Amino acid sequence: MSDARQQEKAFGSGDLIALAAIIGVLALVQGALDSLAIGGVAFGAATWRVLALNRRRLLGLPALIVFGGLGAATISMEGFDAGYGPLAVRVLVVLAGLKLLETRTIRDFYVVIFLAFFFLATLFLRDQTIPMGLFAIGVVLVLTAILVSINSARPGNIFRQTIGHSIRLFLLALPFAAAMFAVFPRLSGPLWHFGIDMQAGRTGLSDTMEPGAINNLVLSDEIAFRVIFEDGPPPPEALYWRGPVLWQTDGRRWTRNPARTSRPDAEATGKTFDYQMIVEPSAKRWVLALDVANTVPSQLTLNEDYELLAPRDLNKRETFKLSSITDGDHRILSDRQRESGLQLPDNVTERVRNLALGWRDESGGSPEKIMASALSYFRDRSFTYTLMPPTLGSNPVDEFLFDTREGFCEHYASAFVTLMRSAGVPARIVTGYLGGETNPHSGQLVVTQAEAHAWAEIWSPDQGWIRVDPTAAVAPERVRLGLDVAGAVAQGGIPLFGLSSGFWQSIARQARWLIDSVEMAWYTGVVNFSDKRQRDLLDELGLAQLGRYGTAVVVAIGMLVILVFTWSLSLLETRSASTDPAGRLYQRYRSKLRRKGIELRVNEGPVDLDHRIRRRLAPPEAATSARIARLYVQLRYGRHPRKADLEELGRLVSSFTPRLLPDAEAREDLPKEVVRGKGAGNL
Amino acid sequence: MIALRWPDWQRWLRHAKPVHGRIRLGMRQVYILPTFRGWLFGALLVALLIAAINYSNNLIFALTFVLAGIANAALLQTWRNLAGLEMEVRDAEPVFAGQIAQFPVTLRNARPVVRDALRLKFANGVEVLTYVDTKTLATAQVPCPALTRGTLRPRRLTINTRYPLGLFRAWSPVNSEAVGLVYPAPVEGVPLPAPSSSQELGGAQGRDGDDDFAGLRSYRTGDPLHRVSWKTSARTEDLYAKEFSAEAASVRWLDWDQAPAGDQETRLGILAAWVLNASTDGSSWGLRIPGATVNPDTGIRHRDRCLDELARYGE
Repeated sequence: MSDARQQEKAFGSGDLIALAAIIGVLALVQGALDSLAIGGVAFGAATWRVLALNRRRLLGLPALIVFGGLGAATISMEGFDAGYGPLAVRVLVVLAGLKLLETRTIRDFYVVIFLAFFFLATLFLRDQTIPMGLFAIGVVLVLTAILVSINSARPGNIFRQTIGHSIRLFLLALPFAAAMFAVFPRLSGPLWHFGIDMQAGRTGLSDTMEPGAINNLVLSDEIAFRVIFEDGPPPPEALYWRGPVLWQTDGRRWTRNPARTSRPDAEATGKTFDYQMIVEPSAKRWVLALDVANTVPSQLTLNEDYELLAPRDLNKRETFKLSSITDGDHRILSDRQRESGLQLPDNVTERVRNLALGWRDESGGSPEKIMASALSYFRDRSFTYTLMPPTLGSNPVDEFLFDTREGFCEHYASAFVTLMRSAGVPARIVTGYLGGETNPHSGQLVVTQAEAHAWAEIWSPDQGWIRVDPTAAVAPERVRLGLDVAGAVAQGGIPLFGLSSGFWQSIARQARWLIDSVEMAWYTGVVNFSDKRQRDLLDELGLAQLGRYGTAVVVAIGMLVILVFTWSLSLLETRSASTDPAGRLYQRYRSKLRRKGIELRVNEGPVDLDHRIRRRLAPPEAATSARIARLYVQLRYGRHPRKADLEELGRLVSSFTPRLLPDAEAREDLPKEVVRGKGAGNL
Repeated sequence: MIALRWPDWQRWLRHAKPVHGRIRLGMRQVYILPTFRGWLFGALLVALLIAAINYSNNLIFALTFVLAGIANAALLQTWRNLAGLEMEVRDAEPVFAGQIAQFPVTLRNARPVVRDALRLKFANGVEVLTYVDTKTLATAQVPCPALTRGTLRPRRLTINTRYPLGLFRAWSPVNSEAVGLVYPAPVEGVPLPAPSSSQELGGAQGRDGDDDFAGLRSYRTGDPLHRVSWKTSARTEDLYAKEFSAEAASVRWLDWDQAPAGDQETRLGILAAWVLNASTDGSSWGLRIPGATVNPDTGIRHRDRCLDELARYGE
């Protein structure tokens, strides 16, 4: 390659430190997102390179062996279960670090820089949030600045100027990039699978429940999902979000039944709500639709317990379009369900059973009346609803009902269902979320883990499955207002309801809402820019009528326009010489001379030019030319340029029309310039 | 970069025509192509695009398009780095055969932006890297090996640049009419011919007061300072040197026929060595070769004139 033969400017230490810093930072982020050990190896290599700088003995084969060995060790330590994709990425990370140790020439620099760009892209596979976007912009700017700097011939560290240059390149790139982004076709599925894991899921509902499970979950501040209702939200009492339905109990823990996925009877009566749900990654398959889901996307399955499930674990944020019917009729009870709904553990105590049987005898077997008796029992016997109830022993239901009388929603729900079953009423526990807060900026209903909830359903021959929330009997504000977890914790567990009204809390909440709406706008506008959204965008631009070929032609023309626009932008920036009005005037003088075939020589100053041509100009123009040269020099190089001089120069240049005397008539003597005040002669 | 050779295309392509020795690189005279690294960058973009499509990852799409946009902007900047540049190639100072002649190239940048990382190269010479700050001149010395004696005409100067990102290479071949004179390489070892005067030896070394004072003449570059007549010079505005009759008579003739016979170039080399040695003596000497005679004189200008004649012998 002729590149190798040609002289290359050696890179400066500033460039090397910048490049090592970029690799180091990328390695740190990679470590945070994937494997700390591997990120650490690359970071170590980058640091070592900076410390060693130009001392050759610290680099070279020994360093390569050490870091290469560390890299290989950490890669095999992480295991190969994650698949080829993550493995390739890890190898890339280690290679980038090793190559950095080996940088000697400009060519090595280019290899590392290109690796760094690819490295950055692999980070996007794990994280596409706004901070990552901003971080990526910073990395691109710095890498571009390093490229400019190693290509420059100017001596010294010019990093500040190259950053400015890099920013200019970036801004010039934006129109083209934005247009390509909007227009480049998106496929709805991958070309082939590499199996890279996305973000790991976080906390959320599980498919079992024990005392303490829900109130621990409530302490987490994380967002579970967001909802956008098409026609406005239902009232707060209807905001029950249905998750795992639990049937089996051993007295302490509740578990699910494997449910058939047959579509239950579609009861079309009741109020229908259409909405879109944006679900955060949870590493589970639950999609918590509004109670009860009616119309769902084809890839989700609704089972006979009205649980909504995704085909795979939700490992990244997903959007679903759903529709639910609140207060509908659900009358089907299979024999298997009746049997499950009456299952009782072995340790139901005497007094619990007697309590339930007493209600049954009073009411004559009516489930509604038994339910009413149970709820008034909770209301009248000074039960407390608390975030931090005392720990229960081996028979939580008995202790809760008769001894402690303090609990959170799961205690109430499990006690209630146990009582109902003891009285012969089929009942089950439903876990999920209750409520949510509307973000005033984005209009989305945001449901966090603080809204986690457990309630019950009983079956009556008259009404079918009825939702019963024992919490509502004891703490009705919970349903209406929602839970103020922070306030409750501050008060030792006594729940506070409604939004906390302290000054700082409302500021904090406003800030959270703002950030949340910005993050959602980023997600829906950029990260989730799918082929469907692309089509919508193109439709909005009015391209729908053109059909596929028409659209392609319009798009191609548009891209060409943008390319030309970018080029003319770059050209424009050099033409604005507004900081040198005298220079511009002199340029005009020169172009007038150029039309007559007279050109300023490279090593000729303005006065030299004037002396050279003055002989050949007719007298009035000769004097003008002399004055122009003198004024220009004064304005450009003099200590105190005066505005009057600039104006005079402007007038003279405008009126200057050179007429060249034919050679025979060229004057012998040099005409004197029109002088006012100062002496003549060269400066 | 794919190495491009321009064997006989030189006459076919219309290159920038100098105007009064000054060349302006216009839009049509600047060519641009991607470099090898540019192609690599393109491959990187393709790889990123495939990753973006496969994982439906919009941030990777964004990164790919931003990088493509940056490369596009850099394409224009690289081209613009050369277009509009004004340059003038001037004659080189004379050198001896086997040395390297340096041609001064003056570059003028009229833009408010720096023209950085410009590379200048003659066909056989080494590339020179330079830059021109905003609205200033810069001069670079571009080397061209002077292998043979005579008039060196490099003719083709190529200016190229890969600034700012090294992904594209813009270049312009420039015709220049600058020349450089190449003196014959001196061949040492043959003693100088004796001066033709019969005066005492060492007469060339004038000692003050020892020889007859012959008068004043105007100072010539190269005269030793102890010969300057300070008193006279102080009274006027010119420098005068004293002349002695002794040296006026002692003259060395460096004659073609006196050089040992051999091939032409060697003879010229011997004569060149003689000229150099004679000029350090202080005596006057003259040169006589077929086709040219240089009357005796002293000084640096006289020496250069003799070397000139030797260089141009046979042209």
